[in-house]
Amino acid sequence: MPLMYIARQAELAQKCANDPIQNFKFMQTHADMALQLVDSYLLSLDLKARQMSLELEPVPLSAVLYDVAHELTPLAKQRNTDIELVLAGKYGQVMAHPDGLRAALYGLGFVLSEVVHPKKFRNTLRIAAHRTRGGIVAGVYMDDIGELLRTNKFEQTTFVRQPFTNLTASSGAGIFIAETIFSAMQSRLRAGRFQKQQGLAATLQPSRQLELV
Amino acid sequence: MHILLIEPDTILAQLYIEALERVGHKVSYVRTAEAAIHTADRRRPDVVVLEIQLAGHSGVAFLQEFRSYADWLDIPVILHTVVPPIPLQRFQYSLKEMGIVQQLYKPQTSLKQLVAAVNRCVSIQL
Repeated sequence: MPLMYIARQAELAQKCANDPIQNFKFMQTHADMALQLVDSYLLSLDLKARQMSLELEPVPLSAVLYDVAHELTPLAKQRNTDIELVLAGKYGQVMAHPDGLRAALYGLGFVLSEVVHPKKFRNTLRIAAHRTRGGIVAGVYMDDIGELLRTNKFEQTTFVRQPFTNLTASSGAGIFIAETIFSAMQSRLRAGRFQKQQGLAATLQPSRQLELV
Repeated sequence: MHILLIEPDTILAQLYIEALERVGHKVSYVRTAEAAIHTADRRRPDVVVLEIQLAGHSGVAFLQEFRSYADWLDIPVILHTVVPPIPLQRFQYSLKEMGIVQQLYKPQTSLKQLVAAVNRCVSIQL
C-alpha cells in the first residue's frame, strides 16, 4: 500500500507541482512507512520460519507507546484519524523486545487506522496501556467499533482472525506482523477492550527488576 | 461525467479523485459496498470504479446487488483491484456476466491508465 501511495503521488506531482514540499512530505511519510513494514514483515517471516523467540529485556512501555504514537501521526493525519495516547497509570518497565514491541504496535496502528466506519469519516485511534491481573496490556483501540463488532458476534475471547469486518483485506500484513512478534515475545495478540473501546492488544509481564528498586 | 469510486483506502482515493477531477469528471467517493448502493441511488453514476476487496460486504456482493436493478444494468464497471490478475482469471466468465468492462491491477496501473480506462467507458457510452 505505501509503495502505491508513493508511485501514484509521484505521478500526480509530475503533472502539477503546486506544492512540491507537500508532495515530498507525503512521499517521505509513506516511504518510511513502507520501509518499516517491509522490515517488520521480514522479521516476522524469519521468526515464523525458524520458530525463534525474541530475547526479552526490561523496556519502558510508556516510551515505546509514545514513539509508536509519534511514528503513526503522519499516516493517521492522512487517513483523517486522530491519535490519542492513553497511559492510565505508571507502568515502569515490561519484559519485551524493544524493537519487536515497537514494530508490533506500529503494525496494529497501521491496521486500525484504516478501519472503515460506515457513518463517521473521522476516527480516533487510541494507543493505550492498562494494568490487569495478568500483567500490563498494551494495545491499539478504535473509536466506536464496539457496536460493529458486537453485531458480528465478535467476542473478546476469540482470536484476532475472527470476523473483524470493518477492516480491509490489506490489513492482513499488520496483523501478521503483530501476531508473530507477540508470539515470539511469549505473549499473544488478542482482541481487547479498553474504556468501552475495542481493538487489538497483548499482555506483557512487568519487569521484576523494577520491583526491587 | 459522474464517476462512482469505491475504494477502501482514503489516501489512494484522494489521489484517484484528483486525477479524475483534473480531466473534468465529477467523482463520488465511498468506502463500502452499502454506501456505494446508496450513492448510486441518489445520483446515477456513468461509470463505476470498484475495488473488489472491501471491508464488510465485498465488491462481488456490491456487483450482485448493483446488477439486480434494471436501471443500473448498463452502467460500465471497471474493476480496479489489488487482487492479482492470475487468481481473477478463474472468475473471468462471472466477471463478464457482471458487466465488468475492464480489469486493472492496482499496483501496476498508473493514474494515466485509470483515467484512460474511465474515458474509454465514457466515450463508448456517448
